[in-house]
Amino acid sequence: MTGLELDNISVWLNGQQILYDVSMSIKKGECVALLGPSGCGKTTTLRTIAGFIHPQSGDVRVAGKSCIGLAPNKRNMGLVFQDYALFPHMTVAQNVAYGLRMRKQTGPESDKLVKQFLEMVQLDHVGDRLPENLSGGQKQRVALARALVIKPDILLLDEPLGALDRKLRDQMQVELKQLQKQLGVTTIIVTHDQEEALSLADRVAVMFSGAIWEIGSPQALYDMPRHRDVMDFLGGSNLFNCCVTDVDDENATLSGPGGFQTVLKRGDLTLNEDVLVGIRPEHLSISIPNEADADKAPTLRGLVHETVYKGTLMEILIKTHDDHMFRASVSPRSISQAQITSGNPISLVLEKDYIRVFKS
Amino acid sequence: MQTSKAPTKNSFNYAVSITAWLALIFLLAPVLLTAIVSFNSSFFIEFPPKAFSFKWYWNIANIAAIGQSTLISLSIAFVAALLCTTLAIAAALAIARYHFPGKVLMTAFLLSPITMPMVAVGIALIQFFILIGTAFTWYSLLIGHMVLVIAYPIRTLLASLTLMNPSLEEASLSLGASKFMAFWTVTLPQLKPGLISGFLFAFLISFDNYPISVFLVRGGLTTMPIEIFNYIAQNLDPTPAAFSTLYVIIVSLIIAFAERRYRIISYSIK
Amino acid sequence: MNPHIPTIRDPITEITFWSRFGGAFCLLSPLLLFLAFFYVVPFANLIQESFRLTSLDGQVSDSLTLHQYIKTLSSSRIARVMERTFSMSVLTVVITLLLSYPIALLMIRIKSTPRTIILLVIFISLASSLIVRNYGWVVVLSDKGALNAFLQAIGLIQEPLRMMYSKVAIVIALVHFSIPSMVLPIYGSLLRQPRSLTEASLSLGGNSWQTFRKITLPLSLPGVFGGTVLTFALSMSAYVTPLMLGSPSSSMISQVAAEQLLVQLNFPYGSAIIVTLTVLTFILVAFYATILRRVFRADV
Repeated sequence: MTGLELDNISVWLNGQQILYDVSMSIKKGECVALLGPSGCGKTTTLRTIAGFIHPQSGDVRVAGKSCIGLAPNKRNMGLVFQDYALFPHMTVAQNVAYGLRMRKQTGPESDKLVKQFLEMVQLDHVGDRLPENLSGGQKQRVALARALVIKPDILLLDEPLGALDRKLRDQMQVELKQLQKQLGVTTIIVTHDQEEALSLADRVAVMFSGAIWEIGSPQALYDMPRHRDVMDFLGGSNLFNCCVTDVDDENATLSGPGGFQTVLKRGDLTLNEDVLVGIRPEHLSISIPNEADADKAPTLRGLVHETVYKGTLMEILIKTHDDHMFRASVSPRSISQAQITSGNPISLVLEKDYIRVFKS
Repeated sequence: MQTSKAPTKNSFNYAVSITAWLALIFLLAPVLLTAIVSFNSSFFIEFPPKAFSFKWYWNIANIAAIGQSTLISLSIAFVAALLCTTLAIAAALAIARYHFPGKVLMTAFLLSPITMPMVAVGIALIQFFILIGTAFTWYSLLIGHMVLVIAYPIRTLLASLTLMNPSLEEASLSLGASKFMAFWTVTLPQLKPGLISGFLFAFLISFDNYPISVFLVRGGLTTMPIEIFNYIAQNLDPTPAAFSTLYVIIVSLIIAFAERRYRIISYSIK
Repeated sequence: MNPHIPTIRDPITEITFWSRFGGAFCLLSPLLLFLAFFYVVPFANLIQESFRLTSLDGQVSDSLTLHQYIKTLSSSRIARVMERTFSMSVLTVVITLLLSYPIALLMIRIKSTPRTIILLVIFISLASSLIVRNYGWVVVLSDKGALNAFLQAIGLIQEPLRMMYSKVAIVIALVHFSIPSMVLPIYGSLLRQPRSLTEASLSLGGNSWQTFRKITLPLSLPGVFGGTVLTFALSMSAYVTPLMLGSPSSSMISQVAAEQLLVQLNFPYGSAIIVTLTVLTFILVAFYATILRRVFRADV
């Protein structure tokens, strides 16, 4: 059953095209994140779904019914704004009750509903407070309760965790996910923070320059991205040029900087083709040159350039003799100080399964 | 708001502080000295004051047509401020929330009455009213005052609207409010400081006006500033001092109250 | 999905003028109607009136002529009054600025309670009747007024100084009237300057005066512009103040225009004078804005 469908949405604003044929199909109860850098059109997409922007072409369908001509107040969508947009002159309870009030639901039943949703976000004790006396995390939860109490068809969240500090963010991530699953409401989250997208969503749609480039489960997108920009955006990556130095019917051999060489399934690679190879820092491990290189694991050789201690990981920057910089993330417990002294020769072993090849 | 600790002591800062305090004394001096004169029993304005007396305050009642003129001034000011504030809400909404061609020009036009010489407005209006035959009526005086003050609530409301968080209106729409309900339940309460300060300014400016009124009145239709002015021109006693002091006290109370209740001042200085 | 080939389609403009501007139109029309009828039309009437002649029996002629304007521009009395009005206005603006800017600076620096008190004083000044404030200066500047009494008491003068009914009294009162409307815009624009700018300048070695001259002042020019233009416009068109505190030899242009209308009942001539004043003020303000923009590269 479809919850929400975007069908070739194109939007022009101020004479510029912002969205190019954006299409997406979301199942009922699914949580999808629109992820991308600022200016990629994700907020525009959200506002088009909500009805504040009228697309020049394309359709927005909720449960199969088009809502293109409908004004925002007729779409029954719950919107949580980046700055929460709580009404400053109303109490928390009045804020949450607002949507019900607009639907002519007042009285003891709606009061009960308001209380129920405030309890759901653990804020039933601040019902009489004004927004200015709430913390950031509390405001966010009130905004959520306000959007959810009206039993919306779609829940739209604009950078929901952006303004919160680290610890609060981690906590809210869990709470948000639980709430979404518990209520089973179709949800779209707009964010530029890949960690937020990967942790909250069932599927992630990566957007650049007004179009959706890839859409898939967080794991699929992270481990096996099909575009180098998607790989680059979703996490750290090492990207380097390689050349196809040998081919046969099944396999192709790639050669690159620092003595890197590996044999992969050929696919549609041709001899002497230049490709871009990507591997994430956490899929590189350390071995020192004087260990036996008997295994066929693809290896890079170079000198330790710099190390950065980050608590849970150690980041090591390695420079190959042909001036290429690589970044590896390893657990601090797996190496010794001696191994990573600046200037030491070092070998990096790439986990073959996670090597990604992109055509130039 | 930026509050800072004491700035460094040097000659520049010293000069600035001294000038500022002297300027503030300059601002206050006439009012305070007038108050002193108002309690002085002597007939002429003279310093130092001789004896304390309330008599000039009682004498205010003897100013010609003081009751009627004050009534007219009050009614005109109140109705003008009310009507102008209402018109201003609509206009400010249109300017702040819609984009249409010629918006800048339109805004400049709507705010232009402030920069017009008041004598020009008075002259233009009396000629016009004579032309259409409604000169020297209460209604023509009202219209004159409305033209005078309309720009003030527009200004304060425009400031309030632009300062307001636009997401609030969108939030209310997304929650199911119609455009009107969104305005009534969310926008309007946010505009309270702008509304109150706009109304107050319109009222006070209308109440105090002389140049426009003097062209539009005749005979029984007169305003308080005109009668006070005439009294000053024709008499030497310090009754106007008592009147002034009374006026300043009342205005101060009104403004202090409005600031306390609606925070109009701290709101408009952002 | 290859995102590198975006399809460009012609935007379908189904949005009509009415659906986009209809709301604004409805909201603005009452006010626009009111102003059109009671603001634009009267002024248009005033302007056309200024192109007419009055015959000796008070009848206004039917033909249009530049006679009144020629009369205005060639009258030496008018020229004198214009020049006097202009010089008094400029003097007022300069003195007001020199007194108001320090007040604004002081308000930025002091704690919030004294600041609120000063703000209240300024607002109350702004809201006080003009006649009240001018009368206050009558009290101060009269022969037996406060200032003379003070100067005599400290032995500076023997005989009271004649200060009333002069250009000096008018300028003092105009300055007093204009300070609040000069302080507020400057204060507003000073508030918008982040304190870190001043601190950066001081940490780089600038002293207070240099910091003010090179950082604070240039950035506050929009506020200064707003305040000075308003003060200038109000001073040029001043009527009540010179009426109360001046004499025929210190009359300002609004008085001359009003006199033509109220006393001489020469509507066309009075209209021409007032139109000339308005146009002149407008030109001077535009000129001033251009200078500020070009010379100081200000954002006005």
